[in-house]
Formats: sequence, structure tokens, C-alpha cells
Amino acid sequence: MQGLTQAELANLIGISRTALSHIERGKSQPSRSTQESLERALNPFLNLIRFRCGEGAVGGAEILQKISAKRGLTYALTLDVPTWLLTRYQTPAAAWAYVLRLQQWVDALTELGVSKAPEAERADLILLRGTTEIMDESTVVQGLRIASVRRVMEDCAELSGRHALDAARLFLAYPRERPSRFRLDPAAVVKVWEDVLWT
Amino acid sequence: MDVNAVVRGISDALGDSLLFIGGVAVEAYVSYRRTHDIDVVVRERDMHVLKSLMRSTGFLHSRTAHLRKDVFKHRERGEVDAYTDRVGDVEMDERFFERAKRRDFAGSSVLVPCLEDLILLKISAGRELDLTDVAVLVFELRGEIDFAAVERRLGADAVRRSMSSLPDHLPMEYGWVSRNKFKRWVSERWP
Repeated sequence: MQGLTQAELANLIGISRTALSHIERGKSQPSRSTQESLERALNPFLNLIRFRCGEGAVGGAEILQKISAKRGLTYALTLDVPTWLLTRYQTPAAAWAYVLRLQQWVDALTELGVSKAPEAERADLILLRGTTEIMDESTVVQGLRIASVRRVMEDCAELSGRHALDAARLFLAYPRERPSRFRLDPAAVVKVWEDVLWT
Repeated sequence: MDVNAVVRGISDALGDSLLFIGGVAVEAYVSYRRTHDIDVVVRERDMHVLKSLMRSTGFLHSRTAHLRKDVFKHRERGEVDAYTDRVGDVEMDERFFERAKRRDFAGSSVLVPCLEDLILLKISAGRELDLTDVAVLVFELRGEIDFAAVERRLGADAVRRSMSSLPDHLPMEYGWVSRNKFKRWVSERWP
């Protein structure tokens, strides 16, 4: 459940723990609004925490690595930075990372002087609520811990815009890692194909 | 692959005879994401200078006739796509050069289309990634853009259509509050 306990999730969507338990075990059907709240609570991209570290995407990722080494907190990068590390195709804009124990990460970053990004300003370090499964599948590339290629590819495809280029580039480099639910943007595929065919 | 060095080399050699469009132009206005390929517009009469420069630095030249562009490729230095009279559906005339601006790109001064022309080119290209770039440009620099000029070139209805979809293309790094704020601004500007 995206690193949430049953009580935390029930609290987030505003229903009792018993009601959530009934939904999980198929004993009752959630109402439309509960269903929407549930989907929202479980989608990491709808519950992100944005920071402005001013060190750029890779600098932000290195800050996470330092905190992880010092405090034993776990993280796994997704989207821009892993794609950059694996393909060098598109410059990264932000360090996106799945983390466990989200509040401890927020506290650690705050202690280091990394503050949350003001509203209406672009963030360069973004935390997402992760799961132990994401952490177990993660690997280290060039000193930074990244989520599995399959997960990164799936996340890139989930978000549109320039992330679609990352999805297409990763697919070209790692076709066997293609996730089961995966839709590539044809225009992104054409651009990536033209760009990397020679190199 | 040093994209900055290639941009600097081309800009030094061709000066005001060449316009950087695409990712280099977007980054000259707003720092966001870009790929390593470089798109330029060069006057037909100056194309031979670009060809000589690229060949002398080891780029291989080919012509993509259906896209009306010259392509220069190098295994380490990347790719430069050069257009003369047309970029996609947009006819490139002398006025693009007259309206162009000098901006800083990674420490080099480069000639890029004015904001309105850049938005026009990006909207005309119309891919997801182009609309993302337009969303970033409009969100960050909306106070500096002459939208009436864009409407005169592209048509008021086409601009309204593009703008209404734009907030959904604003990258997630900006957060949901920015997206909602952007939506409100667009609906007030193009009711």
C-alpha cells in the first residue's frame, strides 16, 4: 500500500479502518468518491513533496545519497536522473526519489537547509512515497541508487511531456525491461529513434 | 558529448546569419530539459559556410528532403539539423532574423527567435514535448510575451485552443498549485 499502514491510508481517505478493511477483502464496494480518494492516496505522483535545493537534479540526488549513507534511510531515484545516468539522452530537471519513512526524509532535508519549493516555483528535488518492493528492486548506478529500469520506464510513460522521450529512450536501450502496462508516445519514439540511430 | 562547445563553435562562425531554434532556444530563455540535438535556421546564402564548418569538424552531412533539412551527424559531438526556408509548417522568412534576440546559452551569446516566434514554432510542431516547452515558457515568462503578436501569426482560435490545453502540459516539477494557477490565468486571458 505505497508504504502506508492501513490506519494511515484510512485516515488519508477519510474512512474508518474497518471500512477500509472491508473494501480490501471485497466485503463491500467503495463509493465513487471513496474510490477516487483511494486512487489519489495510492498514486505517488499525486502526493509528492517538492523541494528546492539549488544544486540541480544530480546535485539533489547526491544530497539524498549523503543522507542515506549517514542516517540509513532508503531511497530509489526514478524519472530524470536514472534515465540520464543510463542513457545520457536528455538533461535532468529534478531528482525524483521514492523514499520510505517520508517524514524522516523531510526532517533530514530540512536540517540540511533544503527547504520546500515555494508554490508556483519549479522544484529540483521531489520525494514520492515508496514501497519496500521498489527499494528491493533498486540498484546502484554511478554511486546513486535508482529504481528498477522497469519501474523508471513505467513512471516515465505515466507522466507525459518530456518524460515520454525518456520512456522511449529507455525502451530502446532496454527493450526486455518493458513493463506490462506500457504505452509509448509515437512522436517520442520517432524523435528518439532519429536521434540515437547513429550514436 | 559537449553540446555547449558545438553551439559556441557554430555561433562564432556564423554570428547573426544563424538562428538557434528548438531546445537551445528554449534553454536560452528558461532552463529546463533538452536533448543533445541542435536545431538551427540558416539563410540559404550562408548554408555553404555551415556545411564547410561542420565538415571540417568531422560531421557527416546528409539531406532529409521531405523535412527540407540538412542533417550533420558526429558520433561524439551529436547532431545538428539545419533548416533554411521552412521549419515544419512554418515558412522562415527574413523577419524571423529581424525579430531575433541575442541570449546567453551556457556562457555563449546566441541568436534565438523572439519569444513569440519560438512559441509559434513550438505550437506548430505540436508534439507533447513541444507543448511542454511552450507551457514552461508561457508559465515562466507570461508577463514578457506579446500574445497579440502570436495570435496575428497563428490565428486567435488556434492560440486559444493551444493555450487552453497548456496547463496540463506544465511539468509536475511545478506542482499542482502552479497548474491550477496557470489554468485560472489562461481562462481569464482567453475566456
